[in-house]
Amino acid sequence: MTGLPQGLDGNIAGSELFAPNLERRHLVGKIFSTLCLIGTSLGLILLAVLLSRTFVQATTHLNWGFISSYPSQMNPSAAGIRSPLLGSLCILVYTILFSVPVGVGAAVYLEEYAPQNRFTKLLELNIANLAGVPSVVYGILGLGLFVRLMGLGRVVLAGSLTMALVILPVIIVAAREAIRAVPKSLREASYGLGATKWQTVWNHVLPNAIPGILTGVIIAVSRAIGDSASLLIIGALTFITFDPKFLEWGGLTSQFTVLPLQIFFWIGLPQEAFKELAASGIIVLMVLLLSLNAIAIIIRNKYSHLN
Amino acid sequence: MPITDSKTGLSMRQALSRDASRDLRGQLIATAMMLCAAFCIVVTIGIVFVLLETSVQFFTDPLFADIGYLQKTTRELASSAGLSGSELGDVLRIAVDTRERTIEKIAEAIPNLNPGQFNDALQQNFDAATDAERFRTTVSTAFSRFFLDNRWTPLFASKRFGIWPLINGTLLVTVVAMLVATPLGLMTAIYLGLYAPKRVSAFLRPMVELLAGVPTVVYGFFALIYVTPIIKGIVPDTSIFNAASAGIMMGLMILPTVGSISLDAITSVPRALHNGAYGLGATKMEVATKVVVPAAISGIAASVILGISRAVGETMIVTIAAGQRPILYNGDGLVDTLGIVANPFQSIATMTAYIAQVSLGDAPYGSIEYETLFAVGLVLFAMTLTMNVVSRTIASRIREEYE
Repeated sequence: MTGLPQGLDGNIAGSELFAPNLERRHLVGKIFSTLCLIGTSLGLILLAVLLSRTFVQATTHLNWGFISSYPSQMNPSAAGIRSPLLGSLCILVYTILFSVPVGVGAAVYLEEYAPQNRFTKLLELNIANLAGVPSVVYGILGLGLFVRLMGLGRVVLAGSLTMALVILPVIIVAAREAIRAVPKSLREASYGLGATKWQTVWNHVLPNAIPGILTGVIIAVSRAIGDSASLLIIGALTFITFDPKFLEWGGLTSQFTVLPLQIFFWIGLPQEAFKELAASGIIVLMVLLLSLNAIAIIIRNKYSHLN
Repeated sequence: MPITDSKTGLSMRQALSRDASRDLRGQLIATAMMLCAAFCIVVTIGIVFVLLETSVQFFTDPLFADIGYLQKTTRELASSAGLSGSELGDVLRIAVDTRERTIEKIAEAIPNLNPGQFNDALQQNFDAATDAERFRTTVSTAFSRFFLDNRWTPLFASKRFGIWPLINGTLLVTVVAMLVATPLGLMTAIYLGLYAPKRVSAFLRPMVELLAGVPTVVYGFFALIYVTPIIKGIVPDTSIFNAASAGIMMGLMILPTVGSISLDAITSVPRALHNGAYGLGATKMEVATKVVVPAAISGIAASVILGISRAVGETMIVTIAAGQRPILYNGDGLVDTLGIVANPFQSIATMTAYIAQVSLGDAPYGSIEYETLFAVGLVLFAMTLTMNVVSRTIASRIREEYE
């Protein structure tokens, strides 16, 4: 036996070592690519089927009365989502107030100011780790720190502070990307005209980064609307039949509930009628989320030519 | 030639940076922004502090001193009564909680002993110990109960604190979720990365990522209302709350995580590798499966690990659809050891579901139930953090390889 395989003696087509067998291989390839396409769309199809079944189950409740009346434990046919929906909005407003300034500030620091040193590395590592912490752990933090240690109780302030911590890493990551996408030439032109660093950041970098930051904030907000684990842990699952006060001082210290938790509560009740209520709540929640996502995509497309 | 200031001889850049540092307002703002960034470190410290503080209270709870001395007394009395081997083990297995009945049962199981005598011996043992000894007993008992017991019943009269059934439940749901998410995610990544035309992938990628944006409470509803009846049609023994339906929906939720990080790994495989394989006469599928996927395997592994970490931390789906019963039974028999139970059609409880259950029940501050919430939270935090760090290490290694 020589060390060379038999096929290398010049008679390639006739050797057994190299059998192109192309037809079969292309057929297998075609099956494979179809399988991958099916795998890609399977999840989406499943989601569409499940959502449409939910929609069918929800139809009896989907009217203005469902939005405008309070939840009821006695009478499912008259129950609505007024207080949870307003509660969700209220939590969102305060969450954005707390988390966006801090998040954007951190992003500007990391992108524009931070020197290349160990502290910056530590900050970046830390933010990446925070993004991976499950929201239930933030809930425990909120329970231990805001509700018990600071004695706030299970109120809007504790809820929105907790939620602000949940979405803070999301906002920082999105804002950093938006700031990084602002072209260097803009900054250099501003410096060239004698602007200071802060003037450059405030007058040129931030205005150009705003569409990107806005997209990130909307995505973070849609996460905050759907996230219920953290608020469940701090004890927001209460039966509320009054509107949260948005702009009064009492607003921060009033009890609240949010839409996903109301849905969770309805799923847990044994009667079939409450399952229909849950389905209707889910449709409202999904419509909210999808429109938020659509807005984010529109903003991204509209301003993407700038970068 | 760099432009220089005629008076000071500084370069443009130096002059500008000097101006910037003179700008006091700018400096104050920069400091404020640094504080914003440093706030994230405060959050991390806060999480660790809150979890550790109450977990320490849990592991030093006086309840464990009681159990520790109960076990010690039982062992002493049983061996002086001549019990050994499996008999001794059986008696010790009774001495795991502090109810009145437990002491009666132990006294019954040991020959020639009445509960009164046992109580006297117990009291004597307890009083004879110094504070340091008692502390050591408390902590060692707490750790052995927490990690080695096979029952998790802190909310019952017979309180037992073995976290293994919760971890077992978590792993069970996670395995089901990954069985769904890994193949689908990988197929998605291969299709979007190698096959899809640009327009199709620009449309499909955000759609697939939408799966991760669906609120978890919605997935929980799907699992309980729609998926469970289907599974029940196939496997009639399935209970209403089960790990399988929760796991399948969780798999859908994690699919984009696995898919998009795998996709990044696949697209970062250099074009030259593809072309080399094509040049050798490989078909597209052979390039995908024999060249690109093996080359991207560490990125794919990173995505799977990150997916597992998401699954472990997920709360609402399992709370709604997987049940609240820590694993007790394997088939028909009671679980007696720390073995793994792998039947996904039964009702289970995960760590996160337990945390949710306790907070729903409004455990009073300072009670042992309240403390268990933080101990379980600490284990959960440690697990997810480890997996995130491992995943990121693997992912950054592959980036260095190709860039």
